[in-house]
Amino acid sequence: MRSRVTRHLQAFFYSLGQLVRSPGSTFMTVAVIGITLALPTALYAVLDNARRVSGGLADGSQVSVFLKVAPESEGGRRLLADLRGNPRVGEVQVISAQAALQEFRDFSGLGDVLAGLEENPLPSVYVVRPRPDLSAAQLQALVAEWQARTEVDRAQMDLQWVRRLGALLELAQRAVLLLGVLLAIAVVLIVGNTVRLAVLNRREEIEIISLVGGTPAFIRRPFLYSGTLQGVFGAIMALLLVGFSLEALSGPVQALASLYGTGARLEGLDAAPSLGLVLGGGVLGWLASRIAVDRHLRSLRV
Amino acid sequence: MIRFADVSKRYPGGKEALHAVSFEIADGAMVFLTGHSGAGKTTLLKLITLLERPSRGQVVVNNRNLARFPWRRVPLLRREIGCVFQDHRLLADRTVFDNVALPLVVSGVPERELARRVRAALDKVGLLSKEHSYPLSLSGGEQQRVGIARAVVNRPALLLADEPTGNLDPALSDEVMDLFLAFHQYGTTVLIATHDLRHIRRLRKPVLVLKAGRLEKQIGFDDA
Repeated sequence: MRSRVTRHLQAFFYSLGQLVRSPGSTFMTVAVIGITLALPTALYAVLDNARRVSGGLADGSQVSVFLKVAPESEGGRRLLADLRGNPRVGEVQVISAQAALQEFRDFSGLGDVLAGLEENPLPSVYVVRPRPDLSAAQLQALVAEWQARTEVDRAQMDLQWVRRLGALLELAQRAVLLLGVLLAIAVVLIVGNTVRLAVLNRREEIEIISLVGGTPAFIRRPFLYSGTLQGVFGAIMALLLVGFSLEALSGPVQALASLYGTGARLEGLDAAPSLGLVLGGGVLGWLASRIAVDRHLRSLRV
Repeated sequence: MIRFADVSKRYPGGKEALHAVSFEIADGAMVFLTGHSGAGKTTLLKLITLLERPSRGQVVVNNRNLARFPWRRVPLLRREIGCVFQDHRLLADRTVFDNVALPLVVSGVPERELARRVRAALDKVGLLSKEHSYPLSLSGGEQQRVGIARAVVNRPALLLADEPTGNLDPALSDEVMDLFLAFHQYGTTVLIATHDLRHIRRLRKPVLVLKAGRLEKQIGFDDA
């Protein structure tokens, strides 16, 4: 057991030493991996921020149901009861015609003009919040159903753009995932190629080790450590790149956010996804070197 | 120690390197393998270390039949055999000590035991003072002696050498041959491929003569 640990440590430091001894080519490989991983990571960070901002705006749409009748009429009461009884509806807020006029008067600054009106021109409104988990189609159906009722003048969806934004973010997230998979494959190819070159460079050494009774596992070990280390360093590089980029963007974003009157800030990656990226880089590097070493050891017939 | 029974080896592409070769080398013997270049000497040695497998026939080494010998256990077999090459095959980026230590490192010998055995092997070939040198700073004869130290550091039962004196002048080459003779006298089985008939005449050991892949003659096996 102890000698096994020792052997792993030896291979680990041997690989680390090999990487350190050729800093130029190591840096290039790590930089290429870093840039490759930085792209999906940065997009992930931006999406994460966008979701946080849009989530703060509203958790869904609301539907304004404008009444032909007064809320206190029989039709108005029946409609309200139906709305509240509908399992797809979260809550219903009643804004009577008077309240609406009062609100309009306060906000528009047209108080004097409105005072001259003989009759209140505004209808009463039920503001309905559908449950947030409804799909766009279900929402559409609800709105159509309410629109068809005789008590209703018009049913209108508000804040639908929030839902659209949500759908768009969903789409973007899927695209980032896809891009991430593609670039992960790219990382495997990059590491695989460097490991392949290392195997060919050390062909002589591999043959001799094999000849004096080194097992394939012994021969493979330093290459596996080397690939894993390159993957881990590449992931750390990607984190640094994304961190610097977000830092550089945070000023303009804050300016933009203050123009919109929100306190939204660009936030960096959390600890969990960062750790995940580093682990992922290591796993990709290990996998790539495992594939490359196995293929080329076979071709060396050792 | 080594038994070949009707062994043929045909390489992909059709060239038959060995044809129906049969012989037996007893434990502790020292045998020369000779013949012109291309007669099949190297192929024969490769069959013993399982660098190649025979197309036909059986090879038995140290009581193990190598036909259908599992790949997984090949490294263990190779640890019982020491190999010396014409071009030494030392690693230029490691010291003499590290080169000789390699067979012990791959079999996981603990550090202290390892250092002791490496120094013992270097002492036997007279290069203890060079343990920190790099191979390229040594003369050809010294490099070959490092190669021999590496081959014997595991105390193998069988020592194979492929033209070990091919690059050396007569005096150095006698020195190297005498080392093999010494290991043979300690009880190691030694098989040396060489086309230098001078050593064969001088040491008077049994000889296998290969010609174009066939075993042409066996000399001196009756009294070996």
